[in-house]
Amino acid sequence: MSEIKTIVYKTVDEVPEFVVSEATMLWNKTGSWRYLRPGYLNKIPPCNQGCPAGNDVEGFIALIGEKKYADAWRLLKEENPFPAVCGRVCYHPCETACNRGQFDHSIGINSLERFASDHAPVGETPQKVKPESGKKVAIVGSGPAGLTAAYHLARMGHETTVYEADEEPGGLMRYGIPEYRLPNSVLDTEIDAIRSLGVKIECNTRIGNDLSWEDLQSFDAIFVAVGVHKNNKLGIENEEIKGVFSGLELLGNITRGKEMVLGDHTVIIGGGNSAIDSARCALRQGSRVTLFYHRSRNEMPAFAEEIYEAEREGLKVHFLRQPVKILAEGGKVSGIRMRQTMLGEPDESGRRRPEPVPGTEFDVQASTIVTAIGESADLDFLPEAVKTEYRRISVNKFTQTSSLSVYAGGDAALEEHNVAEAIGSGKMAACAIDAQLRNSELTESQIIGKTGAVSVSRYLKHGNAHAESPDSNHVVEFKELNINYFEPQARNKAQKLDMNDRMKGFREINLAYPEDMALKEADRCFHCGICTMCDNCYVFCPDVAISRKPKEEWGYDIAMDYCKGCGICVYECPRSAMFMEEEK
Amino acid sequence: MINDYPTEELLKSGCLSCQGCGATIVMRHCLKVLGKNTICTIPACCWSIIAGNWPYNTLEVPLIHTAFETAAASASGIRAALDMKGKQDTRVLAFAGDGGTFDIGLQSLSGATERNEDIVYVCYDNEAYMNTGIQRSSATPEKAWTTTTPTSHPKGGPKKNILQILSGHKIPYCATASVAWPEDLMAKVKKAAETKGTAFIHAYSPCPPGWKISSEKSIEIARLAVNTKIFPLYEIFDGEEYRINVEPKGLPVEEYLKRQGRFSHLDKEDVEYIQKRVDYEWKVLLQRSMMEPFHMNM
Ligand SMILES: Cc1cc2nc3c(=O)[nH]c(=O)nc-3n(C[C@H](O)[C@H](O)[C@H](O)COP(=O)(O)OP(=O)(O)OC[C@H]3O[C@@H](n4cnc5c(N)ncnc54)[C@H](O)[C@@H]3O)c2cc1C
Ligand SMILES: Cc1ncc(C[n+]2csc(CCOP(=O)(O)OP(=O)(O)O)c2C)c(N)n1
Ligand code: SF4
Ligand code: SF4
Ligand code: SF4
Ligand code: SF4
Ligand SMILES: [Mg+2]
Repeated sequence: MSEIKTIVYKTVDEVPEFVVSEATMLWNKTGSWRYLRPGYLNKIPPCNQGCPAGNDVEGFIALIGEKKYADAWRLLKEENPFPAVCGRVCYHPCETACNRGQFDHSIGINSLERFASDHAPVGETPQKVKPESGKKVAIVGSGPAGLTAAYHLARMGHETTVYEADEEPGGLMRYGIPEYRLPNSVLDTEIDAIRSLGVKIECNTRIGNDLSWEDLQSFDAIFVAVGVHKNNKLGIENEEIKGVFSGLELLGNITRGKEMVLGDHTVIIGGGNSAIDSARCALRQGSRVTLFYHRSRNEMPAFAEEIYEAEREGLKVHFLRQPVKILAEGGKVSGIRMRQTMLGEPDESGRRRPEPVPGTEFDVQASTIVTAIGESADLDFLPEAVKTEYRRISVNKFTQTSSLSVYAGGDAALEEHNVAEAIGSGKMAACAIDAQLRNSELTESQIIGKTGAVSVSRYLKHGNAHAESPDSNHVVEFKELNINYFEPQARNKAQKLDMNDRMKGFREINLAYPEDMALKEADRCFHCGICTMCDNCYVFCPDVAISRKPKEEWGYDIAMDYCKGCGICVYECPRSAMFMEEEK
Repeated sequence: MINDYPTEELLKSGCLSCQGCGATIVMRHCLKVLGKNTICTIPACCWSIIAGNWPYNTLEVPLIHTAFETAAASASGIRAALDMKGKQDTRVLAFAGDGGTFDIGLQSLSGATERNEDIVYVCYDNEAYMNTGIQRSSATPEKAWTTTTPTSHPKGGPKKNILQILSGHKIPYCATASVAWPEDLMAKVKKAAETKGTAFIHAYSPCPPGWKISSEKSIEIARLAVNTKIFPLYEIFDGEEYRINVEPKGLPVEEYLKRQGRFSHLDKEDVEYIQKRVDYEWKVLLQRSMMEPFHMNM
């Protein structure tokens, strides 16, 4: 009885004796009543836009929710060669962007990323995605930016060589970030996977020293990602004396296994990540550690969580203190003269400028002094054609420099200095270089949302999956969700290593989510803008116009012949995975 | 995906309801539970139109159109005929509006209920005579606008409490239900179908044109009705044992009222009054739900 049937009685005799119905109303195409048309459309979750590394955050969380841990890792690897690194050290701006933060507490994305990477299938390496191009690319620097570009360029079929000045690859992931936050074994596994794609990593090769810029001219493109490694000087007396180290020197030496005798009291000058990690390393060497920072806590550039942990480990932090001179005795450090500061007008960074308070000098005894007030790039090896500004390589949004075929990224080119940003720039460079080498047009279709990082998957599709609709790059805001379908649920916190076990060595502090906790956390995700087949639209349609697709397929069909355009389906979608447009 | 959601659709597309009609969603879910072996009877109401014009019927179950006041009487008759034919397993569904239930059909409903006829009676409540152009019924909420209660003379007196009347008949099962809680609604229809004797479901059914709301908000308004305690979801067993099914969020009634054109004329005092009345009714319901049902210890 459910096919379309119309009934016409031509003579009175044809009319049945009883007034009974003989067909359904399917002949009545109520779709003609509609002036608004609903449709399904996956949009951009804010976490995806918020991840500078371009991870498909919502996607990998969904896979964890389905207990497909290896697939979650595989999805991460489509975008980011370093999920195990990021899952440990990224300062997770994705969580700041997460819509759930406006409801109760953002999703523990960073811990989930770590969880997925902990479940990587042993020995599995990602596949190539494009045929060999016959082109060669040189990469200068094997930090996260350089290695990420190498990974994607190799996957895209280009012969890629990375030149690294240091003994081992990884950049500051190896020689900066200490083992208690990022074990070298974790880094090695992810770097090995990059090598397995055929990427050559030439260590102990400093461009400008062991090889010249001209030596790289046989390559079809060059990506410069040399980071910032030159320690900024305090510019005070006795800075070159024995017992004074830069933060990177101290951290690098510890990684290299060099013995460091710090003595009873280490004084750290600075407020960034190098300062805090230097302090925590010194604490682990058994030294008493005091840190002086010339502004207040609010202006400190180090990640708040790390400062907090350092203080728990015994670091004493003094704010509004500035060094005047290093005190020496017998050719080595004996202390430091400090003075108080007060905050004045904001400087060009927008932070209030510290100004010395006269007559407040005081001396502090110290056996070691670590200066960590910032680093800048050593760009002397670059030709003039590659323009720089304030010791930073000038690039456009596609990482292109002023010189054709030369690209740059990471700390040496970006304002933001962190691993995820470096990865993002490596991805952009890979896409831009691939486009150049294959003579294809470089568009912005790979950019996630409005302000987001690069999605290599989008780039590979050239354009995006929903190119036909202008809304597909729309980032779903909290107010677009139907939060009636969500219940408050506390965020799951991963454990940290016990304080006693911590200070004995460099064991990793942050512990992984156990499986049940990871599943509970994944379950908290709203899946903003992505259909989860929750059935709401289908269940509430008064006109039975929505049906599930056949079993093997994802999603629903809307019978436009009958949909009256009431909009209930769109309104009741918890996650804004539908849209409504004017009927044409 | 809702795993055990019945996928069979006995309500077909092409029906004549307005955009976003709550009553249509109620019917869709009732039939999903009752299944094909059901005979439906509908008195004069929107649904007499929605079902389609002869010789068509949007339902894939037999449907008998009956006079405005006779839903329960015709259901009783159908039941008797089926019983005589030995078709005890065929279910009878009386599906009527609030006018046909609270007002003109109340006598025949009381009769059938008192005889404890083995029928399922679902009243879809859109809180006025919508089919004939939004005239007030005794289910219209206090102070609401309808075409016969213009804003100069809004509906006086509180909405009739139909479940109290029905439970006063000591029927085995009666319950409220809402379009916004389809799983709860279906569970109740299932209980009603399994009940030997009369089962009554009072189903809250937003009407976008009648309530002056935009069609996509139908479910939202129904949800607010529950969460403001204006329309609590509960069951009454044997006329005595109360069970509240959904814990309301306890939102202020204003959240519900201000979203509907039919209440747009209310002032602060009106809202305050409605809040007080809702609080009172909720307290009564809570107390009833805490009372031990009557048991004869013999
Ligand atoms: C102590 C410390 C802790 C940090 N903690 C975090 C953290 O928790 N989270 C976070 O996100 N970020 C952190 N950062 C920042 C982060 O490490 C950097 O932003 C990131 O590593 C930058 O990547 P990159 O690829 O641009 O450069 P780098 O990692 O600096 O790598 C550049 C590489 O280029 C090599 N190189 C330089 N010049 C040449 C040349 N001429 N020829 C060949 N090779 C050359 C260098 O040896 C180096 O290996 C931290 C930084 C420090 C110092
Ligand atoms: C005896 C009688 N009086 C009046 C009518 C006209 N009439 C048809 S439907 C209706 C109103 C029905 O209201 P309700 O039961 O609430 O259903 P709704 O239309 O709101 O769905 C009226 C008054 C009628 N059919 N029979
Ligand atoms: S890399 Fe950082 S920003 Fe991206 S998902 Fe991981 S934690 Fe979040
Ligand atoms: S709730 Fe989930 S999808 Fe939405 S922003 Fe947060 S992590 Fe992303
Ligand atoms: S709920 Fe149904 S009728 Fe309403 S807009 Fe969606 S598909 Fe169309
Ligand atoms: S309501 Fe549920 S099933 Fe429908 S589009 Fe939204 S997420 Fe998908
Ligand atoms: Mg009515």
